[in-house]
Amino acid sequence: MNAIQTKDIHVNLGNFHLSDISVKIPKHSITAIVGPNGSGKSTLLKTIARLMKQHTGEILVNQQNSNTFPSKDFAQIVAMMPQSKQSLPNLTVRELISYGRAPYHSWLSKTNRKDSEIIDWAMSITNTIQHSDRLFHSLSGGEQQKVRIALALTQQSEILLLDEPTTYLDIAHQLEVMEMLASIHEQHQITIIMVLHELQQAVAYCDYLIAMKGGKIKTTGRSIDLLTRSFLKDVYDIDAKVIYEDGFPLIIPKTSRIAKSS
Amino acid sequence: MNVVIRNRRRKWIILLLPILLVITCIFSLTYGSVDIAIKEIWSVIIENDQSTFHTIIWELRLPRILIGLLVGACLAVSGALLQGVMKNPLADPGIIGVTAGGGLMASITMLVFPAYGYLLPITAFIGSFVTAIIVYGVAWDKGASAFKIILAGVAINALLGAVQNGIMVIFSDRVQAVIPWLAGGLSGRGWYHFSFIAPYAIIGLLLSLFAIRSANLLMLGDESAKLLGQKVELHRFLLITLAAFLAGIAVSVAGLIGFVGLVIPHIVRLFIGEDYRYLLPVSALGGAILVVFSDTIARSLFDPIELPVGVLLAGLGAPFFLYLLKNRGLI
Ligand SMILES: Nc1ncnc2c1ncn2[C@@H]1O[C@H](COP(=O)(O)OP(=O)(O)O)[C@@H](O)[C@H]1O
Ligand SMILES: [Mg+2]
Repeated sequence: MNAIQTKDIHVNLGNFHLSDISVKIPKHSITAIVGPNGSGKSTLLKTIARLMKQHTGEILVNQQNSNTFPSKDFAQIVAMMPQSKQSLPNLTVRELISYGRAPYHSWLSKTNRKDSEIIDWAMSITNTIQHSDRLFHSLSGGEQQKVRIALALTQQSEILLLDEPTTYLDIAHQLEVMEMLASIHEQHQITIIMVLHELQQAVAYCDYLIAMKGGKIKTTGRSIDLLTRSFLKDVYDIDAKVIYEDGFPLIIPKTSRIAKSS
Repeated sequence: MNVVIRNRRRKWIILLLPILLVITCIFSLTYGSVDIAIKEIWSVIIENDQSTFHTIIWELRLPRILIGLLVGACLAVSGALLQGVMKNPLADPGIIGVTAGGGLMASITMLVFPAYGYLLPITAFIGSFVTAIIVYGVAWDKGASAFKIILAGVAINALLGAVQNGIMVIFSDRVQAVIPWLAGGLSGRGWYHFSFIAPYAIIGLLLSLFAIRSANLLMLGDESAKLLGQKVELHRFLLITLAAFLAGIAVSVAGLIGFVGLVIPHIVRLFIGEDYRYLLPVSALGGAILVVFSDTIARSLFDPIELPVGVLLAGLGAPFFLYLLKNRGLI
């Protein structure tokens, strides 16, 4: 069964077009969207999350046209962590994360015990509970990123979209975030779609890859089979070879310095 | 800002502001062209003593204080809401023309259709609302920047001012009744005016409690709010409507009073942060205190001539606004 299916969607942003996007995301899978900067990865994710409207085509969420869901119902099914361009207000970590419960409340109801338990769960699983009373702006980039993930987790959605969850993090924090997402996926059987720049991690952690270029899907498939020399040539226009070490792919680009010294 | 300090400040401010408000009201009862001792006030208000001060307290100062409270609270809450909706810490119903729009409709009502004077808060609200939508619409281009909103507001303010002057010239025979009101003040306001706006003001302020959740979600940013299931455009529209309603109420009784909605939420934010659960009620109290206090000073400063409180507040608020513009690198 598919958690998400896009049927030939087109998005027109004036000087940029997302075109002919048809993908199927199986339930409980982890999928990475990869591709060069400006290839339309965020636009695709936002369109799926209903932040942008497609001009033609249809998006199915759990086999149902996604536009038919009332907005709060939709937010209970699909959560998204946007790319960290715009900042969040300077509330405490706990105050901020508690907004993740908004889809479950009307404008009258107050935070109840179940909400508090879920907020605690999201903070402990993302390892942010020790910061719960700190102000968001006083956190480091890595800590802020984990808080933003916790905010999305608090929505308890079965589909989780993440736009560049590891960008700007050092390798230790990148791995920490990826391990955390893998374990959430394992325990709660959610569907994860995320934009990643680290191809090696994308292959190591994700079942499927969607590679985009110039607003189109260049290729899709099981991640293990996909990452090859010709893939890197087609999608990124780079010349590099790929070798696998313990099932983990290594990308070795041809660089001027290494070429000279050898 | 540190959280412990912020939370301690919140506690103290919520405890102390109501006390400060009571002190301000007592000060306003005692102080003026005639100074009245607290003992006298007690005997007049509590023991219903028919002394010489009875009229001054009951008919002049008390209703004026109550109106000042409502006007201050409405303006401050209106400013806090507009700042949230327009994502613009410089939005103030006076600066961006919302007050002038209400004022224009109010003067049209008073000058052209004096028989409909009882509709004043409603017509002022319509004027404020239409102006708010126009300013926001003109400034909007995939988001409305702080600077664009201010510029649009300046232009609209100029236009409204011109129309206002035109109407005043055409109806110059009736203008005498409108001038004190236009200057922005509480001079000569009594129980009639209080009973006139109190129901509207109370409804508006109660509605603003229901706006807290929406305002907080909008504060997270449009994207995040949408992702959390909020209908962003609808809520933004509702909050602008409410802000214009509150500004219209204040205009209908006190004329053009500016800067309360700018100064108060700004200072409150510095102390207790941007969470609207605290920002709105504390701003309401702060606005009430500022207007009652300033009005007391304004009516006594050049005794026997009363300065309109709007003039005094502009004298305090305009430099503050310039400072904010400078501070943000906008000028
Ligand atoms: N709201 C928008 N309006 C117009 N153009 C946009 C908008 N959002 C993104 N774009 C443009 O669309 C292209 C793809 O952007 P994006 O989807 O963010 O790429 P990616 O996430 O793959 O780096 C870029 O050229 C960007 O400038
Ligand atoms: Mg992007």
